[in-house]
Amino acid sequence: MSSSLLGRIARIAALALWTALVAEVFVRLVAPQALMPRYVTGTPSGIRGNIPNATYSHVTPEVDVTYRINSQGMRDDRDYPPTTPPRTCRIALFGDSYTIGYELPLAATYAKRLEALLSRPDRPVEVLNFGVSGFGTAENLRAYESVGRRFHPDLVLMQWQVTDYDDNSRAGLYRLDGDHLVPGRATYLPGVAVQDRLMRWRLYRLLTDHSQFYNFAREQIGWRGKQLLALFSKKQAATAQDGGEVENGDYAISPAQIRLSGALLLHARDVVRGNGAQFATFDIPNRDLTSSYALLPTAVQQQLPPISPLADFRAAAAHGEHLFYTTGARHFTPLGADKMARAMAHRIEQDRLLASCRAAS
Amino acid sequence: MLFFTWPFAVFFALFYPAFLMLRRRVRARNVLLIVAAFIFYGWWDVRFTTLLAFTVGLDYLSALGAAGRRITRDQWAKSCLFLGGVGLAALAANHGRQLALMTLPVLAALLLYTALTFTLNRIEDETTRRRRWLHACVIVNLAVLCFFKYMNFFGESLDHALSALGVHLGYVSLAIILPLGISFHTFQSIGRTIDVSRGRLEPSDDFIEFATFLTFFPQILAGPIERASHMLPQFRHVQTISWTLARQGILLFLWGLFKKQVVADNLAVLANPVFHAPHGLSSGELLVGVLAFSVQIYGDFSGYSDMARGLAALMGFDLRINFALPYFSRTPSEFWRRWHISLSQWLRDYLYIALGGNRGGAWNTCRNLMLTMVLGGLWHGAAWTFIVWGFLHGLILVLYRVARVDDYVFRPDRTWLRGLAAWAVLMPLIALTWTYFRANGVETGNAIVAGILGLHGLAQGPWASFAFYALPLFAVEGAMRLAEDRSFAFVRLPFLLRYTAVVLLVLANLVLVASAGQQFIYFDF
Repeated sequence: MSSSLLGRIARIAALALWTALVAEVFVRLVAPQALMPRYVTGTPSGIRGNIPNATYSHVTPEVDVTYRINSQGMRDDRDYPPTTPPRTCRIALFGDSYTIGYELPLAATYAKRLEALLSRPDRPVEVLNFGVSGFGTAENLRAYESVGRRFHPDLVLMQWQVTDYDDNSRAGLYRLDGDHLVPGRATYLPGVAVQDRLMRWRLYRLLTDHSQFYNFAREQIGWRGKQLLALFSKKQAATAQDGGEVENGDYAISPAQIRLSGALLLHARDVVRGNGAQFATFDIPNRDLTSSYALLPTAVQQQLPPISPLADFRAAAAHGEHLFYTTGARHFTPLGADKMARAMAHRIEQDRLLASCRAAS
Repeated sequence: MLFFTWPFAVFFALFYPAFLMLRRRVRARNVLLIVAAFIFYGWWDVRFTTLLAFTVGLDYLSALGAAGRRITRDQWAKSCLFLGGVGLAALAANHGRQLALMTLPVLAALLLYTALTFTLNRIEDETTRRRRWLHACVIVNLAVLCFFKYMNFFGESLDHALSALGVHLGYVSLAIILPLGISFHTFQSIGRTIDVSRGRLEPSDDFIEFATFLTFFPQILAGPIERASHMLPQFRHVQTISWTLARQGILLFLWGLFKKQVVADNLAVLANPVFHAPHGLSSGELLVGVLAFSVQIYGDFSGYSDMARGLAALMGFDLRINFALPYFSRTPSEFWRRWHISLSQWLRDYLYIALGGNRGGAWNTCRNLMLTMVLGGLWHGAAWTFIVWGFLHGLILVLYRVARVDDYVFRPDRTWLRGLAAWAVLMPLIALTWTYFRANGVETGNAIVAGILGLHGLAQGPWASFAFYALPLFAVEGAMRLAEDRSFAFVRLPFLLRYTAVVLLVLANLVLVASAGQQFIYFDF
């Protein structure tokens, strides 16, 4: 290699290093960013999952939280046997970063709060947290079918959130053929291959855990990429008879996305009930304290009335209480998670969703 | 299609390679530019592409007629075919919906072309024919502009005025959509026909060349209002695209993006609540709101102009400078030589001078200044606030003229202190005019001004946020202002400094973007 070429390469490397340094300093001084690495990888079921036994932290101006993933890919300090212990009821939660409890210590997650609210010394309740950041209904369903049902939950609670409309159509794991839900692609592993490769490098792990600029860039790329994909997927999904998109918060939702999501929820209910468990959905309110569940087809809303803390959220917000963080990824505060858990516990008691398990125990 | 959105990124990513491939074949390149322009414009609302095509066809014929020529069948057919073709394409893009709305205006426009061509061609006297074509161009263009922009304003104002006299017209406001950029391309087009009629410009037979000029997509929505003498020659030749030019284009685009996304959109967050509900706010909060809007409108509009110039530079074209550091002006006349230069010059050349300019003595000069500024205000929008804005600017210009302030400020023995004092006097006046420009009504403007003059709680308000977004802009522009005087230039800085500056600019555009993006303010004009 000639010396001039080596010199050029050295200059480019030096510039790249300088750029990274300037970027890190600029971001830290001018617009501090949250450090929120995602420790996810591919699973044999063709979807993402939490990296087993991973330990990592999220740092935002408001929180500093450490996450521990058990060997089964759940956020927990311990593993769970496939069979339910005697006199114990088991609930499985499926959802995204809200469910896994981003920005919350383990004890403050609504999974653990629900466990505490329902458990009695003579009749413990285990809440298994299958949440994975970025999941929509389609992936939740796949996660239940491939892993969740092995743990024989008595009740499955599946999260609903405004992003699910887009997540479900983008994932492509299911699609609508007329009014029928049919399987789509076999796998949906966005960015996983690249992330897996990068995670082998210590330098990358250092970046993802400590560089504010890297975390900012990753969030931007993910968000803008989603915007770009949404632009195309919506153009394809919308047909003349579909009518226009519906605005909900920051999201524009197409009629095709609404129909697909409705069909997925009903299908998930049937699958879970087919395994002898109860099923319910819970609605994560939008940050402007509206609900995106109300956009789903009326039949879905009637057949699957969601567990919703919305009324409680509005009352709390009227008293100036903070239910969502204002920085970072703006998930629930401990208060928001607690209200979500109380809404779940209330519905479970009211509709006797654990009645069969309690009778058996 | 906004310059900083995904649709534009995809559009430009597809367009630019095709442009580079065709750039040496002038005619094909121009056709590509026209097609791109109609896609760019039609992305907002495909129905209005026919209006744009109508303006192109009409002004092509008008310019030829205003030059004293008789329109040939070929020239008439080109206009008709172009409009008909765009009309059909628009109908197809609209999936055949709104058939009557999409076809009847096109048919009416074709009839108008035909009627004008055959009627005015029969006039023997060349001077009369030239004049009639010019009148036709101005009247039809202004009629279209008035219909879309001023119909409701005049109808409601007349109804309001007559109802005070007991006469009720019962005017019902029409739901009229304002076509994007109509004020800009209408003025651009009229200007060209006037130049031709005055013998300053030869009309071109080349329809494609003219259509490229009138629909050039970087500037079609919000200017600069280009002169045919500046742009048409560029569309006649292959434009050289050097790395230096492309680099300048990218830098200009990034700088414009910074002014829009970082400065203007973030300051809008401070200004909007103040203008929305000013009552009960302290003087400090009101003042921050007014200052924030003063910087916001500059960042917004000059940002668009910079992005437009940057994109044009990437294609090897040169658009006129539309803003030359206006907030460093010391007198109102200097401000108008630096603010929205293309409109200021248009108003000067085609309105102020046409009214007599400064040829008829002091009184007539002042009257002409007032008239020009009030009409300039009305150009911005159909509301009394814009008229008050124009009136105030006219008044300031007249007062400075009567007091001969320019002579004093720009004396050869000027000192920096005198310039600074003049600047410190002018800027509050400019901010005062922006208060009315932005206010939802004259009463709201009055309330804000009265609230500021109350001088209570001046320290209150988000001064730190205002300074955070405004100061970097003025620090850079201050350096540019010094460069005007002392030949300081960015390119002479050491490489690492220049490189770091560009990295910081890119980072600011990524990191400091306002969470709620705003449409360009001037898209409403």
